Amino acid sequence: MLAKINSFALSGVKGYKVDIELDINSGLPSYDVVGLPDTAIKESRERVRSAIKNSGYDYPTKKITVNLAPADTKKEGAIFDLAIAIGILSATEQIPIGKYKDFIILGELSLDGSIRNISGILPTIIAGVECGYKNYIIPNANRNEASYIDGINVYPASSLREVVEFLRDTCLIEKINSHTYVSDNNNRYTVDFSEVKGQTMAKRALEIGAAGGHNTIMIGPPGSGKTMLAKCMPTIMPSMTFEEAIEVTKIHSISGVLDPSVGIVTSRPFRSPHHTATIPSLTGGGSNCKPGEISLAHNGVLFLDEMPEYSRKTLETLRQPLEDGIVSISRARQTLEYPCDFMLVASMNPCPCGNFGSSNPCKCSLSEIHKYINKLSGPLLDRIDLQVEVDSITYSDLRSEVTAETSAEIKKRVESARQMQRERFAGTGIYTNSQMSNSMLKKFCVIDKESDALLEKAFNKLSLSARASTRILKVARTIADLNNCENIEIVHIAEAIQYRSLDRKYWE
Amino acid sequence: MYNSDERALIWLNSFSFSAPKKNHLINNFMSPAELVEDFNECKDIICSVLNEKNFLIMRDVCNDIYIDKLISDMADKHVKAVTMYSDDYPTILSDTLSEDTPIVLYYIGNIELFDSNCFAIVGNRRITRYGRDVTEKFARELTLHGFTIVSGMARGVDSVAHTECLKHDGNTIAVLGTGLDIVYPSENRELYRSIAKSCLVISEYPLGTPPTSYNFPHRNRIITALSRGVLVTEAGMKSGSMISANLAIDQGKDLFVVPGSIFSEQSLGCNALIKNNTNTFMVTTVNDILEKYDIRKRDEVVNAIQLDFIEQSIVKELENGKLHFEEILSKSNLEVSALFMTLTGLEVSKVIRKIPGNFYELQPN
Repeated sequence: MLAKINSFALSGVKGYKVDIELDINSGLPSYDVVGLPDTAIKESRERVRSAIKNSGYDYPTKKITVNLAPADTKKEGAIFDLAIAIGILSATEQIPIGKYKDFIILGELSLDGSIRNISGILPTIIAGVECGYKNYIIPNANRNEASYIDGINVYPASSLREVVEFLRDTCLIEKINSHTYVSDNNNRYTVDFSEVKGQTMAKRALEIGAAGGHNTIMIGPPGSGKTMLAKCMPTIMPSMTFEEAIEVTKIHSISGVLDPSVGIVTSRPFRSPHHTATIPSLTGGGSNCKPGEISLAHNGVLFLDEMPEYSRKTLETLRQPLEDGIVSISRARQTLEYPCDFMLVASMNPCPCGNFGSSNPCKCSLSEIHKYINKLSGPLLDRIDLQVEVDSITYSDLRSEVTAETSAEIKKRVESARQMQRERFAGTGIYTNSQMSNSMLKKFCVIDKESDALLEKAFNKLSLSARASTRILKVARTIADLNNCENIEIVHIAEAIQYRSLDRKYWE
Repeated sequence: MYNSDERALIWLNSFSFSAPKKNHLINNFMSPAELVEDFNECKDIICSVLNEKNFLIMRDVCNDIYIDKLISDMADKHVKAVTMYSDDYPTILSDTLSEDTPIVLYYIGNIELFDSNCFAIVGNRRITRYGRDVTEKFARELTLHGFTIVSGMARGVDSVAHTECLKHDGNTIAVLGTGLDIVYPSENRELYRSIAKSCLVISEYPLGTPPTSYNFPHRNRIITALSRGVLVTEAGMKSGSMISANLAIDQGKDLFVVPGSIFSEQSLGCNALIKNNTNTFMVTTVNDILEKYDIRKRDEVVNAIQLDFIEQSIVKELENGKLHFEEILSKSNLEVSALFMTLTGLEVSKVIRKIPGNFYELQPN
């Protein structure tokens, strides 16, 4: 007897249909899976057998052949267990032929017949919807994740028995009610900008960074609150739209880091890999091409604490993703693309001992400082728009009686600045000022003669490097947006100039 | 190109014993040329100054082919030599150093600078912001008053002095402690190139001499001997410039010292010089040096910048020293963006400057 079950598998964040063909013939009892299965799939034999037996059904003592079509694509994971079990039961006529053909069946089996959760449900279902499939049977544990997709019928099952009875029409599984996406309203965050005293300059820089999507580096002595500031970053980032949330959830889902009780990522991701991070862990990779930290930080913040401590090679791999917002991972077996449109927030000490420029004496020689700063290559710094110094803590104490703005207030300004940008760039495919190309720069960053003179003077007198010019213009554009100004004014340029600490030669 | 005496000195100088020994050896002969000619016969005299091992080493290469090779190597690297038997050898060196006179000076650049108004600026290799400011100020003003700045092209004060001098199209002489084909420290490669191109780089050490810790203090005697006066802008207690300062006094040169903070380790040496030596001149303005040499101070071109009320008040606050951005913010009662505007404006007009740590201070001039 032959049975054919519909299922889906993932390649990167994209899904493709897999037909599970099952044939039971007379012959010596055996179980073979063909169609480039990995070890987890080959081992399904034991799980399927035990699950069927322990659910009270008959496991045929015949020759079983399972084909995963298309046969030339490598398939991974235990997601086909349930489909194979249904196939065997159908081929042995324990389930009536017909009903299961309308369903996409996904799930991993336990030996006792219960269905375990799998990763990557959301991107899989989205792929299924794109192919026109409406009905899904998925593990109950994944129900929340699947509930954010409209217009489909998703039946969550917790055991093989439940599925079989459902397909025999002897039992009903209630389909999932779809949830409406509500973006996180910041209650989840344990930090708030109002807790950061002083640091006017750093806070402003981060606000500008969040508003214009500008990559930011904070330079300051140890213990000055760089990490705290960075952790506050997500609290002022604009809320994610549903589309953004889905994109993020897809990546988090296939990486298995999604919280199953929520089912969708509602707040912008904040990823802070340790500085021992390897290249594959950052960009993604491994034999199965898993997404890396930069993809997990998609639509959110990638925080690199103590940036010069990362290996130079690792940092350089960030250059292309920073530019394109997409990382392409090529391995012998496959080439995958993951989105990685993140905002880079980095922190570093001004020198190896960390005290240069602070009230504590610095013990480093100039060449040591130079070497330390030079660990960040020019092209990489080129992609960091805002370079701001964070003050040592004594100065924050000075103003501790002043109540600082809360994250919510800052976020409001950020949202309105983002709105202006969305209107400006409507139809151009970009969303933020930081993504402006040179031609857009000419169009949207027109400055008057006075501002131009200031900029020119700043170059000559403050020994700014040449690459600073476009950065200053982009940042000035965002500052103008934050102030609700149509045109860039001289005050915006003047402020933007102050955010080029590393460009200044005074660092030597 | 080089006469027989000069060739003999270049040959002799290619060995690495001290300058007094070389001078002593030459004094035992009628002329350096004779030393080379009679080298084999005069074993006793030579061994009395050096030792037999050195004699044997030198004997092996005491021939014209070797000397020609030395000279062609120099030509390959565009290095010339001036010896104590040459006409253009700076007499001030032999007068000052007598026994310790370098018998050969290798050079690249304009040798006429020896006759100009040489003045040495020396100091710490590890330089503070204060030291940099002081060095820049004095190097600039001395350059503008026609002095040739002599220094050692080391890190810190030396490099700043050379750089500042070149920036104002002045003349400068770098006295190296290595062979002229070796740039130390290597980050000064560009500086070396520009000094060699428009001014003068000299060394008493033959090509290929690597940087060694005893060569550097030793070359300091040339720096001070070449100059009328020596200015120490910033020096710690163990700084090599303390050696220079003592040399300057021994050589009868004028020693000028800029005082520093009593709390700064990098200024202890300067302050000690002022405190302990009666014959040092403490200087706080370039006038103190100019007066000593009866040079009239040139008229300052004052480009007065019109400051508005807010700018004036900020400048006034900064007169008492550096202030943090937050402090200026609270004192000025300005909006943050307005303050940014004012600060950037003052900065590009070179009235104030930003220093690491979000501090602002008045631009020293």
